[in-house]
Amino acid sequence: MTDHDFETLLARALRDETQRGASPEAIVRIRAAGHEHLARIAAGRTPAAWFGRLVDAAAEAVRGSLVHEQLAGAAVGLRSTASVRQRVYGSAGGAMELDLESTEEGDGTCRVRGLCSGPAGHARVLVLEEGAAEPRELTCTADGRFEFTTASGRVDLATSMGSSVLVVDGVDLP
Amino acid sequence: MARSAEDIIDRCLRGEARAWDDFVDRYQRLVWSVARSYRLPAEDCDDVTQAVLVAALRHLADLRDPAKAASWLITSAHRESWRVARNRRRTVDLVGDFASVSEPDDRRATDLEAMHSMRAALDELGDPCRALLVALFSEVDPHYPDLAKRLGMPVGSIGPTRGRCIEKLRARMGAHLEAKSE
Repeated sequence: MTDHDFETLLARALRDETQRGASPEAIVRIRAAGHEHLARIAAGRTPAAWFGRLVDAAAEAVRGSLVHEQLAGAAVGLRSTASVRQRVYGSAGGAMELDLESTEEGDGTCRVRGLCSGPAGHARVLVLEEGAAEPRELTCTADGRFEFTTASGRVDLATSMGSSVLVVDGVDLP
Repeated sequence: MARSAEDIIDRCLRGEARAWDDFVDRYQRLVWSVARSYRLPAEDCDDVTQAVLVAALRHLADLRDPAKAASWLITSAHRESWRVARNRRRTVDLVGDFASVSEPDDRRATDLEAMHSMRAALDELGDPCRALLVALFSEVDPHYPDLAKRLGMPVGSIGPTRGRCIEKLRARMGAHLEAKSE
């Protein structure tokens, strides 16, 4: 690379519009999500291991990532005072989607309604509540709908459909 | 001086929260730039950046090689950006005012990685070289007296210092490219 090319690249790296980077708010969210993940590992709780054991799936092969549906800026750790709608996509291949609607019931519990969509096959859904040693499997309709009530402020969810697996660590509930 | 990618990832694997902040600082711009190349709005680029970096947490042990880390992040950012772009197109097409989403070509992807390597090398350089080069190259035609005042250095030393700093940066950049080619 000539001196001129090198300096041109340096100037572009500092001025190019694509190099602006994430917003400060997004960086705060990303940092918080990472801290939380590291703290969970430090506490000896390996994410998603419980699901892999139960369904003999390579749970680490497909990860979930929370992406907003209706609420701007929704992300891992999203919290609302009354009701939250979230959509979770499989980040590897994107073969599966999970829609969640969480509503505070007013008695300290939260009702979560969900819909799994993706490849053909019966959906299985497991939920691990905060503090619980083992997850519980939910009844799931033929079209992938499920519902549960929990007093936990946070749950882990794992779903499978056909050969696709979607695991979401830490869904904050209202 | 900023730490190397390998060091940052090692510290993340040991559970150091501060190391995760360093990881985010080092790579968020790279991921964001890939998403931006899809002409996604800034808020969607933020979402892509979050999804990809958080997913990277699960693969840290495999990403200790800095070249692999950048490649993995770029590939993941492409996938996630494409998915977000596809969904956005599906939604916004309904109102018919959506500019087409386009996937950046390989040349553009290589260019983004080069810019990332340059910024990483610059961060590793540390101050005062980093501060001087950022001040000199962030503007099209920097005013040396103002710049000297801002950086607290004599105007006459800017030129020679600039030359030395560029050489140091070149060496750092060379190390990045060498690591990538291995």
